[in-house]
Amino acid sequence: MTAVSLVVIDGAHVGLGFPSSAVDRIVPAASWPDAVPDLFETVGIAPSADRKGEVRVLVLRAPVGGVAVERPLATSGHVRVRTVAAAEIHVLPREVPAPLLGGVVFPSKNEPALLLLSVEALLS
Amino acid sequence: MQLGQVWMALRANHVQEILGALAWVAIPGAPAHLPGVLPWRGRAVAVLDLGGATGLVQKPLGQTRARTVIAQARGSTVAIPVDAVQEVQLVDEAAVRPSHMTRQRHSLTEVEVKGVPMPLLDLEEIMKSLGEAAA
Repeated sequence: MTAVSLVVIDGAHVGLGFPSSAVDRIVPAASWPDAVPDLFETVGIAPSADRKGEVRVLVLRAPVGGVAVERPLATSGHVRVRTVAAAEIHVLPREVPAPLLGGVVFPSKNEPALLLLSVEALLS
Repeated sequence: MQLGQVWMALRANHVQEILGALAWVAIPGAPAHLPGVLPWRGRAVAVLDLGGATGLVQKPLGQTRARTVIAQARGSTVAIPVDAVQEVQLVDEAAVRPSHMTRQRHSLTEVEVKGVPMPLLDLEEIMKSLGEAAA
């Protein structure tokens, strides 16, 4: 069974996940960086928690058109690494288009639902 | 099937399965009446907010209803959370009549089940209109 390593940011009701390979670095921030977009808001979810948690800036980095592109996103959600089986990642049906999402992992007993972000869409 | 106080009929050939309450995952930016997905037979299927699509329920779809109807139309599979589902009823095609006693968006006909007239939902038309709205 193929396993996929994800960087997961826990929100109030749902987690957001990136392939670990796309997260170049995670930088702690002393306060909320106004110049950096809120990760959850970028995806269309209410801003992460109430911005009272530990603030971090995730820097995504991946090649787009042969050129390495970076995008910082701020969050105060809990950041962790989670490994899921590739079979757990479900493609969204065409009736529910979400260009920034690459799939969904349904909740289990121990884990909330997880929305897998499309790094390609976020960087382009 | 029942939504709030209203009973509606759906042609049985649309129905794949009737399940209990199922939690679904909201998808940010999804169409208003297809607000999320749930797992069914190993894949993600769209959740149809029937209350919103028919105008019966104005508030957003809650996370759970007692029953979930899995239905297919226009090549799409959708999960429809509803409050109750009756058993399959055999109705003579001649008894399907133009809407008179009932008036319901996405329904031009009605049938009488156990003495109760109810709108016969046109799921094909619902999916068509949702597809056009999303385009």
